[in-house]
Amino acid sequence: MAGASTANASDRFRFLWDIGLLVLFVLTCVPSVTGIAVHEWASLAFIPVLLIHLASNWDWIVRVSARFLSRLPGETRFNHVLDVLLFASFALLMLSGLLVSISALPALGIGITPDPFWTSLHNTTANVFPSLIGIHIAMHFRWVVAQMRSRRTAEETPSTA
Amino acid sequence: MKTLRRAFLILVAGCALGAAMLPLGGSAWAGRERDRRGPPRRAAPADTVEQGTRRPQMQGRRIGLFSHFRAPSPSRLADTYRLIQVGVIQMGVPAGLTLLVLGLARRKRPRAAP
Repeated sequence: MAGASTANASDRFRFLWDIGLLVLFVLTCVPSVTGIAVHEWASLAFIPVLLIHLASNWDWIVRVSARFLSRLPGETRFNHVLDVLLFASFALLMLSGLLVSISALPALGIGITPDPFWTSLHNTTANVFPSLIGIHIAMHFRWVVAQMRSRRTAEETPSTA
Repeated sequence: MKTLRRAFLILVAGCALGAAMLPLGGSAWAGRERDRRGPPRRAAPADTVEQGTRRPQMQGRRIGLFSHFRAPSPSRLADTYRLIQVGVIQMGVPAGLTLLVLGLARRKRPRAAP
């Protein structure tokens, strides 16, 4: 029973964390709305938030990576490949973003001369990344719906405490 | 503590991936680009970081699939439209298509593999 409640608490934490991650991601997606400074600082804030997201799913990553070459359901295998692509494109997005930074890094005293290669790479990965995120969310849509349902059930059930 | 240690490991992996990509840009690529474009123009004295912020790609206008349709002068309406573009077109369409494919695949195979 304690194990189930721990799993529920973990799921609740991950669900709330993921909502925060999505909100932050949308905020970073629209530099023309937020301005370049907010875009860059929010992107830097996105790094630790994403790292915690990945670390909280560490067990799944290790388990599936270990079994990747053996028998795995197709959906799980696809999820893993998608996650690897997401991670790689995120790393490139952040790297190229840092190398064309005109607000955050200069504010920290690091002067950068934007290179056309990194600008074009940043634009390309910025186009690819939201689509991959959309697919990632869709792949976990059942879990998202289950979390929303369980939260609603928990709110409707009167507390015994 | 365990989560932080794992997060640090992931950060190291990301940094390693980024570091592996670094040689692609910088001097080697810039050299090829310079060869293609000819010698660089001398920057005007006023060409500072402040002026650089006014460059369209630096403002993030090219970020997005359909950003070239965007009016050059930003307005609140265009910014709202941009927000909807990101949400619906860039994330929503792939998500919708994935849900469709998943739904079709699960209808063929009602019981998921254990």
